[in-house]
Amino acid sequence: MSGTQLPFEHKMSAHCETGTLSSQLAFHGMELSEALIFGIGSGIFFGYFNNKRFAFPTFIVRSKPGQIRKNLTKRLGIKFETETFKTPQQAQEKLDALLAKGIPPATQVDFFFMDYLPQYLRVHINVHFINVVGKTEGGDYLISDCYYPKIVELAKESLQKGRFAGGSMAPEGFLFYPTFIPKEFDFEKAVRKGIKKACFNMLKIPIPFLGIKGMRKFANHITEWPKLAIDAEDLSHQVSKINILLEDQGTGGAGFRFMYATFLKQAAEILKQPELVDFSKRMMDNGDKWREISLMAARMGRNRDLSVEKLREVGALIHERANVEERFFKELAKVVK
Amino acid sequence: MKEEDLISDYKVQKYILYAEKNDGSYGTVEGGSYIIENDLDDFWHKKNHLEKSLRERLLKNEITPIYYFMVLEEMTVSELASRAGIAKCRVKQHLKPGKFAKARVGDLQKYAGAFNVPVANFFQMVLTSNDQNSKYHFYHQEEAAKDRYSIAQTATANAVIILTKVEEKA
Repeated sequence: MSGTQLPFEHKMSAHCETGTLSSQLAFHGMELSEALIFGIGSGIFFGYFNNKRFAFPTFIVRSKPGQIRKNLTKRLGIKFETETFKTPQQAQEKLDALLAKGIPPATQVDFFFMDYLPQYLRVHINVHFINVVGKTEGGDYLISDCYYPKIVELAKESLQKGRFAGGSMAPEGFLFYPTFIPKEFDFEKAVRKGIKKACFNMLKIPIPFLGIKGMRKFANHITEWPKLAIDAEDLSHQVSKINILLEDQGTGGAGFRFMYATFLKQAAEILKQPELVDFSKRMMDNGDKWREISLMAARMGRNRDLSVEKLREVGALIHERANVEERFFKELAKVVK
Repeated sequence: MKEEDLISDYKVQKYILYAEKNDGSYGTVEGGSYIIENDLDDFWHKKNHLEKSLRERLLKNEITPIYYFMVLEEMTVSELASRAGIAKCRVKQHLKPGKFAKARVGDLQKYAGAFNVPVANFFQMVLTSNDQNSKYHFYHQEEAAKDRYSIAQTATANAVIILTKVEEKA
């Protein structure tokens, strides 16, 4: 069998889900920036999880994986073909059939099996999205991963294991590709809806650990962390993870706050509301403060500076962010009405 | 964040970041990971330490190989149960040394799939000359490069048999 590679333009981006969506749409002839996709899809979020499903309390700074794609369908009318599979065989056959037809689908995988990434990045997280853009002569796949500088080969066994990893949010071979892109869009309505939903998610979602409430819960609970850790090194690892979750997991810096600021600046032009530029600046400053928290966490982890007082200090900074973001989203909701 | 404040000479891990560019517009710039650039050695130190302490307990028969890999790969019991396709209560049993001795080979194969290690490595530790477990996911590649021997494990058509080859490096 000879190798094939579809003319897929590879580009690096900050976040895997929005990046894959952006390059999928670009392949089908529609240019939509990552930040705009993130904003219209209401990607910005916060949640603090402290339950048995996680080995240690953790937090998220983005909406549920897949939600951004669903929101794009709802708000812009872009239709996606999505499919999950019962067996790895079926999944592979479908993937091969699509590639033969000239369609490079995006698929959901477990980070752990992406052999081309360095070891320290490869952890068991089921929510990574990659584009499959071709096949080599040996039957392996060519992957366009937006965290990797170029198109890269991945053994077919690894791809299959990654697509059928199981566990929470199991991918089940999930793949998607756009099937219908409307000729005209009502961007204004979509952007307005995206911002409104983001405000709702941050302020009013009636669950005590999501949105601003989640942020406060995190700030209060962080002083309990020493009791939950196995030893000092484990605690240091967990505190360093605050930095990783905010900066490293494809957030574009400061837990998506910088990306959202970029979106708001674009939104100001689309909605013709210059006051949003001011909001964008405020979001940027807010992001800077988040970045200070993440740098502080990294240093604390490094220096094993993990006293309860120090953790309380971090908690106080997070409380401050919660207050700032609460005010920010309340005012934002009024502006985009 | 301003573009000029961004340190751009990150060598280890490059990322795309969003920032205020020098011309005042907001957009993407190439940056990198602060923590990977500065604290990667600390990460390896912690991982190696954790591995050593778990190995000690494993050799004393205080824990089972399932627990060893579960902690190293940062999984919980329910996550492992779901990934391996084994009931949670049975996974809990397999974390006790006495019960682990009665585990089925079929179950072990499922665990091996979830951890991405050969079944054989539940019963042996392939140590390098500098006393590292060469065959677990977080074995430091730089350390491996220093080693005099290369240890390669290749799968065979028989799912429970793995070929382990030790060769002196040229």
